Amino acid sequence: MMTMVSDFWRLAVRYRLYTALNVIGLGLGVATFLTLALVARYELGWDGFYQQSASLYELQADFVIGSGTFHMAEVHDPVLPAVQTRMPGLQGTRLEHISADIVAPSDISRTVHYDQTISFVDPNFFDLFDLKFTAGSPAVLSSPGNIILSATMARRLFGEKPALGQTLEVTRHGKTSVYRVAGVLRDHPSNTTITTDLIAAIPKTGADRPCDGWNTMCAQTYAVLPTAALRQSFLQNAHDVLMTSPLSRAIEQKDPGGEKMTLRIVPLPSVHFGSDGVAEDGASRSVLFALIAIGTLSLLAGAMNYVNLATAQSLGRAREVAIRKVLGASHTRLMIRFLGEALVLTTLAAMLGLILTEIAVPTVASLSGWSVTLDYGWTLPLLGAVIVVLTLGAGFYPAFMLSSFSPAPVLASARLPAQGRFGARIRLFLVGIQFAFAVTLGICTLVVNAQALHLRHLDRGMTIPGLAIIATENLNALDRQQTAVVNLLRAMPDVTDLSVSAGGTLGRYEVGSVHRAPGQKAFMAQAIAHDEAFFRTFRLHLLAGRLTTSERATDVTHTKNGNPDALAQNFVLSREATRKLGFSSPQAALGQTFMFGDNDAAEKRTIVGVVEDVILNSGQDTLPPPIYELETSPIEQGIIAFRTAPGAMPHVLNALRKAWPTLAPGVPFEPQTMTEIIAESTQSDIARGRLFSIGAAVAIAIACLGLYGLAAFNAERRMHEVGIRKTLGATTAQIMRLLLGQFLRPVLYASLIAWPVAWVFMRNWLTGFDNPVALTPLYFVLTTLLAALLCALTIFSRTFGLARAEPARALRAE
Amino acid sequence: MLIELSHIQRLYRSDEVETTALHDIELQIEKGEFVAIMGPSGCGKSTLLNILGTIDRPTGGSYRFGEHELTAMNEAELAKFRREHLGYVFQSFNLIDELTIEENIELALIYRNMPKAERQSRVSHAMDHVGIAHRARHYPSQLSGGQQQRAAIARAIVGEPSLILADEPTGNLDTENGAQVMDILQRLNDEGATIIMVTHSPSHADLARRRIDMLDGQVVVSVRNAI
Repeated sequence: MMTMVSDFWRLAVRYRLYTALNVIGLGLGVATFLTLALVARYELGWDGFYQQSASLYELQADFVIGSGTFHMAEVHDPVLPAVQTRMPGLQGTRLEHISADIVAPSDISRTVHYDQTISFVDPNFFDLFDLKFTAGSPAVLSSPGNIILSATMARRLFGEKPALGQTLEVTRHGKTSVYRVAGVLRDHPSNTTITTDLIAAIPKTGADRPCDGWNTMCAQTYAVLPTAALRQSFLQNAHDVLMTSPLSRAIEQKDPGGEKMTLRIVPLPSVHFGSDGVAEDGASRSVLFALIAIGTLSLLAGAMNYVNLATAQSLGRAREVAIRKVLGASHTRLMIRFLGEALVLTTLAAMLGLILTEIAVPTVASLSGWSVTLDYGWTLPLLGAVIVVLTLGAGFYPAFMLSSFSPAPVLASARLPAQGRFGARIRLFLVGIQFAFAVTLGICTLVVNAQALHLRHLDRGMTIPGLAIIATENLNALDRQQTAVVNLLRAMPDVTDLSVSAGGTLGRYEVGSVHRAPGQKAFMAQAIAHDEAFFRTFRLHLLAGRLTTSERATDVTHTKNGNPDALAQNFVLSREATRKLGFSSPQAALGQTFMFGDNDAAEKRTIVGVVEDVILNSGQDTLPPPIYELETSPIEQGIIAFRTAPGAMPHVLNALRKAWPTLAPGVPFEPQTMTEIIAESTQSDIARGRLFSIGAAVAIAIACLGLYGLAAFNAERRMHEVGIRKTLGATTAQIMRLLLGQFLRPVLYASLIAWPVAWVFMRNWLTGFDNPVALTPLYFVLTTLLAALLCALTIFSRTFGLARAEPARALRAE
Repeated sequence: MLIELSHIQRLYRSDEVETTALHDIELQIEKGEFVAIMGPSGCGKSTLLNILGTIDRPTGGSYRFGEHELTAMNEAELAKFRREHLGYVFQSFNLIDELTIEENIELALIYRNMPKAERQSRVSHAMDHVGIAHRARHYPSQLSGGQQQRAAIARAIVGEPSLILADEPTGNLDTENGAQVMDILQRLNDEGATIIMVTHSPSHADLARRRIDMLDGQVVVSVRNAI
């Protein structure tokens, strides 16, 4: 081993440039591979750490309403017990979340922890999800009134004091219950969909139950289903249970244009990706597979560099091999020797890769929002495997070639062995492959970043600057506090407009079925209740017709004691809603009618105005299109939206913050400007763009390092040839053209491979957006030009000296 | 007068040593001459030939070629001068391994931006002249030393240069092939080409019209052979 290292060291000193390029290129490849492998492991390992993960399934429901499908991760609470009656011995559990305010009586200041999620579970919950206890045991769930905390929650509520035995006051809908802390859980990895900081058993009595029987879908329902037969039977039984339930009508889809519910089971590890393959943290299977592919290809690119540089360098070592053979070294022995050198170099590169990974992982985690950490227990064995594969995979060909030199011609010749056109072609081919990868990634990077930029500057259908919202769902004494906040804002001279509305995507909305005429296809719409100042405050862009007004009785919905007294006949619709109703243009929809409500109770409404679609998300989630309903009665638990004079927002927010403790004591002060909301919605796209940029930069760096090494090798090898050409009258420019052309050609050929590949990838990716950027040739041409420019600079830096060399000196080379 | 060297000097400097390769060379060569340069190894023959061929620059003195003062030319002008006026033959042939014989010969014309048809006709004529037309599509490594040197001569003459410079053209060849190469050079000289040849072989030097002997970077004897 020591001989191997000392041999390598001598070689590294002699061929400093090649060794450095090799170690850096391979190190970058290893770092990219490891980092993205860690990301993939994190994302694909969601919920994988439970002992029963492989056989755990979640029961989910799909609603088909007209042409739209809505997915529910929860089903009705009675489904599981009913199925268990039909399938005795079936292991299953439910998880039902509620939101409540919590106070620890031991806290003298009685701080209220608002909006905490409490998970009610079946007593056997921990049989399926083996979370570890630091105090207490799963058995405590069998006693009502017990509550189990996560370690983080225990610290938050009780500080360093022992949590066990403490009490908690849980207030929900104005009713307070007292729980005793009977267990504390060790904090589990962050990549689980089972987020449980406060766990209690589902109460047996009806009044306290979080779910309302067949009326709500709020039970995350899991079952252990290790065999296909069991899974089929489970689904069939769940379906049969629904068929005998009050929901049977929906399942059979007796109402044309009504909703239809179907059930499906999802393996626990896939639950994270949701029904559309996109996780809440923005990761999607396609993005993940792209990242895995980038990681693997980066490693391959590094390995190609190694093969290229090692074979190039080996020509310079032909004489050494010849002498060793003359002195009696066998082919096998030389092979082992050269593979040993490859092992040392690969190990060195792997160590550099590990250092770079240590730096890259926190950066990637902060950019992507994925809680990835460098787990040495997992990474080191992987790194070991990478070293072995690289040594054998990339080291074999150069070692074989090097040990195959025939001594006689090598020793007889004054010049280096040419290794023929084949070797040169192989090297250029590998450079071409590297650049194909780099150009593909470069194009994808440009498109991903262009899409992020496009989303940031997208016409959102309203005027963004100067607009802020306050959600009022946290306000306790709803009417009084909401009115107090509204009155304070109205009194400020800098607040130019103010509106209270249900808020739609920003707050809440009623989902209602909409169709053009009886018997026609229905779709889901957001019915957004709003006051008269709504359109003015948001400055929604009016496309056709007029806005609704309280001066016309048929424009307004009146409510009395929370129930509609008179319904508005005239609606303003979003452009998308008119499109879904089948109108060719906003103008064509004016004065036309549509049906609003479920088939049995659908009522005719008239379209009086059409406004531009409001885009608040990144455009990847399809939300029901809004229809706007004017209400003059106060809208409870809506959102307060206000617009300020230019530049006055900080001042207004400051004044509001000061007054807030008096207006809404104990309620968190959480206003959001629309600019912030838009920034948040595009954050994951921008982060993805940055990740791709880093990936592309690394790929191009590896390719350029390889090219630089080859150019250097080429400069040495072609010195003599350049001498001949210059003697024959070639100018420096002609020599530069020759040397650049030799390498630029493979880069241009690489683009021919990269363009269609990138086009297919990006076309598929962009179809996921409602507002995709146009996939113009600009991205393709620009990337190729950039790659060619970088390539030219790399070659130029290494060959200009050669091209300028005095012919006589060049002729003396070799 | 075709060539006029006056006070030509060539010094090689390194950090510690200064070596004089050529010292105050005075030399005139007429158009149509065949000059052989002889002398022991290290006497400056090849350096003188390189300077005559403008692939090395003198550190002092003047080099006139016809109407041109070559020491005043920049690199691009010298490259143009070489491709228009000079042809080279080297001891180690200096053919490019990656190009065929035909392509090697054509190279000298490509740098003159000559039309393809004219290039092809000239290349084929040059190959006929030295008798290697049947090896046109071969690579240098597939040819014998004698054949490679004949290809190199074809490359040297294809541009119809004013001067052919030959640096030990027979040095790597056996007697028979050496004699064939000398035959070709003599024939070219008879046809009007000016040739300057460095050689170690007294018998080959005797085939030239003039012989120059060098020692320690200086011309010591210049005699005309009786031919």
